[in-house]
Amino acid sequence: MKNMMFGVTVILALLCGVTVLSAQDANIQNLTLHHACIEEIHSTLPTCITIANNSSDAIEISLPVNVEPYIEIEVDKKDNILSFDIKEQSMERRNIVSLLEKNPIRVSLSSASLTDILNTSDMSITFEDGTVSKWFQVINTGTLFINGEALNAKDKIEYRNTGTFTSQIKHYNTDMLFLVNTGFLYTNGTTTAKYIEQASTGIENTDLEVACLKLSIHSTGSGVIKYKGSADEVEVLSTGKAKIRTSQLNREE
Amino acid sequence: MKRLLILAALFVIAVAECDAQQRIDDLLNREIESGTTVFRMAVKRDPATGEIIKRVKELSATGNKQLAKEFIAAFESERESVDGWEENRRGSNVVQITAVWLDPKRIYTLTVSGSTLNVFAQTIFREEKNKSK
Repeated sequence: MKNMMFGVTVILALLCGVTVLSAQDANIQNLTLHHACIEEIHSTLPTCITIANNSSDAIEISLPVNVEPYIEIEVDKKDNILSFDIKEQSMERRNIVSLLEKNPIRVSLSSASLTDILNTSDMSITFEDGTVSKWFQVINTGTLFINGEALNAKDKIEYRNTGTFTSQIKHYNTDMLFLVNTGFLYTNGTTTAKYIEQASTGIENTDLEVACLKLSIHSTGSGVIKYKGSADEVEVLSTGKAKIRTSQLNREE
Repeated sequence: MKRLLILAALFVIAVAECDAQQRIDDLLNREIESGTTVFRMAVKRDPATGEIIKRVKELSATGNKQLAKEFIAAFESERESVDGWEENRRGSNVVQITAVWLDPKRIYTLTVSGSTLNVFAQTIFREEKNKSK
């Protein structure tokens, strides 16, 4: 009887422990930082970023309580950089990353002065407001997913990818669009960019509707590169592995 | 029966007219989309309406003699439908063919020199008006 009671007690204790652990996993720490003009975001950790539709200087951050002591969130007020990295090596990096893969760091900020995003881990960015600085660059060596209705950078939007990059922006509103890829790059949507340059040695899945003065495609990679709409001048240099579909350009006659 | 034959003949002529340059265009499009080539295209638009009045396509390839043979065959297959034809050959290595169609005006030039192939296709949908002097 005693043994039975002991067994029941152990099971109950285990159940309680699991419940407490689950609650701890779900515990989220919220932080609010204030800096009006973040120009760059650097992250080496799984991060979900929302570019909010407001002009507030608040940077809202939430992250799991159990990893919070090991993470360094820094606002470099001189260079206007918001960065996320591991603070201490007391907990193994892969353990922290593994925990953050389930509950990533969530960030919400406004975007008007954003020029650079650098990701070396897993990142997703949602543009509620896609108005960024005149020159906007995204550098990805990890896994990056971007979505939103529009990305507005007056002069130039540039993607440099060596990882896996999916861009589901519906409209790129800029003068120049540069896509440089040695990894896997998926880009679709429409753009009014006057100059478009795509340089690929990786795998592409491009489907863009354009209305440009010049389109240049230099490809030694593979995949499918499809452009439709209008382009006054088109230049394609290819080693023939990629399927480059430009026959839909300038169809009106 | 005669009417039927006349209609059939007219249909064949119409289809032949529609297919003028088709084989060259198909070959150009095939190579643009999947070939080991350098391709350039440019269009000139009416500044007032944005309508395309001239289109130029240029394709270059090096070291692909089979492709050169295919283009020479495509040009020769269109010889019946052209309005103007000029051909220069020097030995078996150098071939230059210029084919012209009217309405719309198309000037297609093929140059094969050794292992270098160049195809230049110009289509003029409408002559430019008020050309500045």
